[in-house]
Amino acid sequence: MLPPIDTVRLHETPEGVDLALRVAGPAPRAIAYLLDVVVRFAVLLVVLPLGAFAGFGTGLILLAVFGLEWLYPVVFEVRSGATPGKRIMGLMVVHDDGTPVRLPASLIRNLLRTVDFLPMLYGVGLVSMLVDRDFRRLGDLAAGTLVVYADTPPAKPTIPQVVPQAPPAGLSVEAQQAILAFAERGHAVSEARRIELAEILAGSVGRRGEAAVAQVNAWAAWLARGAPDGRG
Amino acid sequence: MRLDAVGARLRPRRLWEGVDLGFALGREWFLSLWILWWITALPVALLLAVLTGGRPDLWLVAVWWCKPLFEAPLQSWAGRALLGERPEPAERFGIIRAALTRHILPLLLWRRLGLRRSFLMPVTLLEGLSGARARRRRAVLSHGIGVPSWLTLICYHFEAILWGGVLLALVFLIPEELPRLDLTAAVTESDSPVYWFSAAIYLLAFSVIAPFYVCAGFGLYLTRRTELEAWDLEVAFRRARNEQDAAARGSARLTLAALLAVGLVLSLPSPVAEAFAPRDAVLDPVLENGLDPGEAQVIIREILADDEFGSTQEVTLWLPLERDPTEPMDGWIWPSDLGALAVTLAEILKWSLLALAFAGLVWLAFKVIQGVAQTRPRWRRSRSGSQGEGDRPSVQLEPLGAERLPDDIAASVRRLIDKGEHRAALGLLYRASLAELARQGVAIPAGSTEGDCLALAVQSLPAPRVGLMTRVTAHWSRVAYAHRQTSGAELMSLLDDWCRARDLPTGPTRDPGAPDDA
Amino acid sequence: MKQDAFEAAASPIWSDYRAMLDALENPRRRRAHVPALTSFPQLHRRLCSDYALARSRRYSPGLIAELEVLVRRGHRQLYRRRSAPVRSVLDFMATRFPRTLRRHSAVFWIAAALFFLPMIGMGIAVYQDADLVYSLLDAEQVADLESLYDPARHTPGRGSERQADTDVAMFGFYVMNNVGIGFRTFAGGLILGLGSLVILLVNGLSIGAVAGHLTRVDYGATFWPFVSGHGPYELTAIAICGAAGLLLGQALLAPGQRTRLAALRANARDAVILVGGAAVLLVFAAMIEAFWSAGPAPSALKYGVGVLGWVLAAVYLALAGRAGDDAS
Repeated sequence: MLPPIDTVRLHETPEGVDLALRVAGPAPRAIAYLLDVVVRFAVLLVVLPLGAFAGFGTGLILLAVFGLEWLYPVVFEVRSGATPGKRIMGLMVVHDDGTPVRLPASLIRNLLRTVDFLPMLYGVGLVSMLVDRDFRRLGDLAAGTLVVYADTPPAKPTIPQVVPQAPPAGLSVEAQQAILAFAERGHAVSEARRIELAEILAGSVGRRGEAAVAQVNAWAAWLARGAPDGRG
Repeated sequence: MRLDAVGARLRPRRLWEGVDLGFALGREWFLSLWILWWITALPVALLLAVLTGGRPDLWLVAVWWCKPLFEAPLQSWAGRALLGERPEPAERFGIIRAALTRHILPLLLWRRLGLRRSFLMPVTLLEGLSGARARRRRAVLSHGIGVPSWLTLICYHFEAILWGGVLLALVFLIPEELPRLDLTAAVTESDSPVYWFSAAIYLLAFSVIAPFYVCAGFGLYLTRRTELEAWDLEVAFRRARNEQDAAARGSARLTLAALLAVGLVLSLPSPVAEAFAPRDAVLDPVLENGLDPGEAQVIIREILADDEFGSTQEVTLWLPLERDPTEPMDGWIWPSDLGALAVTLAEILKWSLLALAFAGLVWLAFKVIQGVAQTRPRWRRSRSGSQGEGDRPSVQLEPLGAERLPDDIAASVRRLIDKGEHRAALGLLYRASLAELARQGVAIPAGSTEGDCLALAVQSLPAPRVGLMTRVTAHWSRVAYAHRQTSGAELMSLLDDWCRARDLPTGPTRDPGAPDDA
Repeated sequence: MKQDAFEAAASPIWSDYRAMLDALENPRRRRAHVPALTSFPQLHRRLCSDYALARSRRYSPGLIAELEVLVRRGHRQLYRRRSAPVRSVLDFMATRFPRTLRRHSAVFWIAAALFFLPMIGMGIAVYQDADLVYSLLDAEQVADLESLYDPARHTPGRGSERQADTDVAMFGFYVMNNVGIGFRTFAGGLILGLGSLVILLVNGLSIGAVAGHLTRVDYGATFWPFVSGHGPYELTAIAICGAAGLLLGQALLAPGQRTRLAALRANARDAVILVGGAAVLLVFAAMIEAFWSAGPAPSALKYGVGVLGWVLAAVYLALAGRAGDDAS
């Protein structure tokens, strides 16, 4: 069987663990780009009144246009890993080993933006992103970078404190994990749905309604903490 | 139906990640979906071409309006493929017939302009709902999220970009001598044949984006259900229950219909507080920050038109009588004149730039001169053939190894062999050979491998010595990297050859048959 | 071991680690925290092993996700690649850039030939044949050019009060325009090297045509002194950008023993160094063009500065960074 399709790219660190990098596709990146365009345009509007200083002001405006065109993404990516647009969308740029992007790679991917932009509005980049497994445009391919979702600090979920009960024998490890996940995430779904989910599993031992939810939670407590008398 | 064969990993994720999952699915299934799209779209498009009486602009709008018709089969196909049952090519027509029911009529009529089309299509096609229940279900699913609408807008733009990109590429790439594509006619003049061409390219762009659009909507739908209903847990629980039942009863099979039907809890209140604020709320403050250029220009013009502005009266009042106003010193008095201020600023900027550049140049020149003085003796001598040689420092051999080379190398080596320390003996021999190489004026760059050293030796040593060096290197590499010990006899003969090549006395020749002393 | 026991045993270490990460991720607190950081790599390894254990023992997804985020944050800190800001720019120009250029000297000479040979050829041809210039430029452009360098219209002593002001404007324009051209020349290399090739050829031809034409109509006396100052740096830099583009093209057309993607990455790393150096050269050229070339100095002096510029550029590119890494 083929491995299930996912948007996660695994990188094995020198310590021998797999880090999951969740790569971002063309749609959120397009929005992030739009936001960046808005930001750049706003900056330009702020600079524009400098035109009052005839030649000198024109020079500064031209320098600003140059900076906004070529250096804006580089500066933000090297400083904080993401341009303002990407940050709003929760994205960031990293090397393909998961480390924060540095100047050379950021320069490569942003200078080669010109080619991705061809023939109009990122036509080449769009096709490249649709074809590539990690949604990389040509600049990303040459620089060895990925655009990934930044970490959101997860709210630490807790498993309900109930009297543990041993689950039925022969549960696969995936099923055990699902039971633990149910205990952690159960409160996020509606009550009716929670009961329905629990009944799928606890129905086999004859539990219905709230009793089924309690049963699955008790199993989860056993899986996490072991038997009440300390065996396990 | 194999429940464990869900084709995508279901886990809680952000909504945008759901869209990305859809794009990944679309790529994986692209060819099948694309063919399926054309099977439905081509007859319809031809029919519409006849109905619109050969007007390409009307035709394009009509085809565009019928898009849900082509997307419905893709949705059904993706629904089945997701559960691991990738339909065979022969089943295509069955899928199309099953997908095009009267339920999708609203999609072609009053719901055609809704921006959440692909996100909500599974409600109609996979859950089979209609009427008030479907409305409630749609409201629950799309409560408080803006991503589905953004997805639709983005995909419209992706189509336009592909269309424009292909047109522009054709214009750029066809040489001038050949008949060129008339770009303005292709975009604006609906009665010209080129417009047909451009409309056909637009159709092509529809077809390319459609699989991604449908799958992205589907991915979003799956993510939303995972979020609201823990759909991933249901799949896992069902699989576990199935396994248990199978263990109990031998075998049990659940059908796709059963899975989907049970999975649908219809009248759900929206239990999850929505974490995703609509994105456009974020945009507004950014937009408001900017200054309207028109306004700015008006203000500037008012200031410039003011009588006081640019007046020289104040300046003359404050100047000493005898001073010549054209004297260059004027620039150093803080001027109230905006233009003069600009000139001063410009002057400062200019000179600081120049000073900076000059400082940089001086530093650079200093560096270059320093570098040339340091390296002149060496880079003249070093060979220009090998890359980067001039750029890497060579090492003195003394730092290699912990101890200094002994005076009588042969004797030391022999002693080590007798003691059974073959590795140390070989190491000493190899080190001595390298030191000799370095004494003959071969610069060995830092970080050279054994192979690099051998290559350098080949260039500078006479042929018989090269053979010896090759042997020593080979033995050493075997010991160092493969942990293959060299036997005492081999080492002895190597040492004897080494001594002979340098006209040193050879040691007592051993009987080759004698057992090793190791 | 059950999940709770595992968590209880390890959580003090995790909270230490988390505190250290918080300090590291905050640049202001990072400085204050330096002495305690020696234990960070050990802690990171410990976290990695805990994460791997949690996964292989199938602890709850919530715990695994929490540990993964911690490990990922630590990975970013431990393997972050750093560089010193100002000093590194100077070192870059003094050693890395010229060295990298010399390592790819073959490509540079090809790019220079593609740029300078058509330029010289076209210049001579246009000088000989009056009509040839119209094969590249249309009549309107030629008229514009002529009016720009018309000795009669040229007023050498521009009002000194406007001088600095206009100079800065021109500086901004030159930076935007020339560095932009340089970057595009590089990026064009990604189209199998063709983009760089075309930009080099077209720019070479048109510069040659302009020079030839202006000399032929006797405007050389205003044109040559103007371009002689910044020409050495600007033209060399464009050729270097072209060489960087050709490096990309080479990786795609002749990757050698590597895959195309690997070759592209390896070459792009060097190419971006070339482009960076060329950009500095171009900014320097823009400065000379804006502040010196348009200035009132006599022609002889300007020619002298031009010749000196070629010598300086050649000496710099050939000799800078010959020494080994600084002993300091």
